[in-house]
Amino acid sequence: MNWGMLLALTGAGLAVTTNCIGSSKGVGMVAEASSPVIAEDSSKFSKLLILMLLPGSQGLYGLVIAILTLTQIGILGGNPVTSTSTGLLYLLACLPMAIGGLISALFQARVALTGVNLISKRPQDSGKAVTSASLVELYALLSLVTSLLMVMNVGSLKL
Amino acid sequence: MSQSISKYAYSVSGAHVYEKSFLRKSDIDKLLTAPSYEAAVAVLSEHGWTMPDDSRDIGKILDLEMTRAWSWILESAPDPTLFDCLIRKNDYHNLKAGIKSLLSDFDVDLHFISPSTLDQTLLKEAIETNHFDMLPSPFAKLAEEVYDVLVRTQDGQAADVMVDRKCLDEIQMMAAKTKIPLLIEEMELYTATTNIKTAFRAIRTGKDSSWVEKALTDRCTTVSREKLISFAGGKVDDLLNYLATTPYSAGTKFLSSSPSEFEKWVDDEMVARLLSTKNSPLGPEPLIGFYLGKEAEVKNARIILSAKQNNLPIEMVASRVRRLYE
Repeated sequence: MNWGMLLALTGAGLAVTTNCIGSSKGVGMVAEASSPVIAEDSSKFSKLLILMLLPGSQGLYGLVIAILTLTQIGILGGNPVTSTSTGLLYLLACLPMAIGGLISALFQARVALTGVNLISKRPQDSGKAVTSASLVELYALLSLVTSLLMVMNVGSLKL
Repeated sequence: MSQSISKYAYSVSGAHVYEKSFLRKSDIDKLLTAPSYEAAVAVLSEHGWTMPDDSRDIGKILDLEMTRAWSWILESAPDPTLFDCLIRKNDYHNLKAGIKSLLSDFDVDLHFISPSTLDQTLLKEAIETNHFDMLPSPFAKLAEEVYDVLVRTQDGQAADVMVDRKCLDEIQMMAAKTKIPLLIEEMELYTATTNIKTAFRAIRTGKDSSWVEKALTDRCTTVSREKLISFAGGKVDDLLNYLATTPYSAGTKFLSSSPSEFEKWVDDEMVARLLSTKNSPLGPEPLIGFYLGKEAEVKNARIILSAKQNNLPIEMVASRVRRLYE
């Protein structure tokens, strides 16, 4: 059994799975909360759509990290991972995105839910609602950049 | 974010949309200044309230509105039974009203109110056929006892005490089971102030301590039941001095001058405690706020419509209007 490859693949899998869980839950909740508002006034759909989409970005970030990892470990390119310690490093490199993305998607959904309430009452303030929810995105981006840098440089380490 | 609160996204958002149609201060002013009862009813109708065939029937108008709000909770909340304690008092009222109506040769359901957790058709049938065992617990046993007391002694007050006590006990128990702090707090306020009102009236009407003991629930944690019982047969001032040391001192100071002012304080306090949930996006709390907020609105409508029907002056009514959930 190639434990190194197994660990590296686990990292790639985690990055995409946890982020997709967070995003699907976040998008689902915001969409659920939006439906009574749209039922009352369908013209608010476009404003609410942005809020619905925001927690979905983490799923894409997770996918980016997963693909990048696969291109480095010999699945979609790069040199196959043979040592356990290199595999472990790939797993660790994927964790910032796996954890940061999951948590930020859920918190972003929460902010977006308050935004749905705001748009329902004061549609003219939709910009404020979207800006507030976008602030949480920064932390998903920080996780993405950290994982990105780590995954890209693990291969060059001499262990 | 726990799994359980995230399930409320749809129902809470829907409740917030619904709340936009709640009466505002300006609507209450419109109702107050309406030239007649019919004009006041028209204001409510414009606001989307459903009107029964007989628009002079205030009870029916208000029942329809509360039932509409309750239906939203039933349709949308992940676990509607959590909120049952909000309407449980209606079941006890219906039981009491039904048995009294039967014994006075009126229609059993004449004074039933909605919404209720207990099926009203079943309750009506049980009372009419005298088969109280058809009712679920704890109503079956209670109905037997109340019927027995009313037939044997014709003491309506004794029956009221039995039912009201059981109602308060159960409401407190149901609220505690939900483990929702806001609900527990609101039900504690309701039961504690009901105990206070009962103790106050008992002193005013010269009831003895055994009567008070039967009437007061022992599930309140913020007011000592033993102390309230000990004031029976004594002076109102002693009771008021004790109440000044409880969390309800801001309201109980009105008791000696105007008990209705105390009731208004209780209703206002109830709404004030809900306001923190007004913009919450998740969890059961906003639904509690939604329903109790609607109840406050309906209470205001009752006060104003009754005053309009009886041609009472605006000034007198305006001072009784409750705080709105806004």
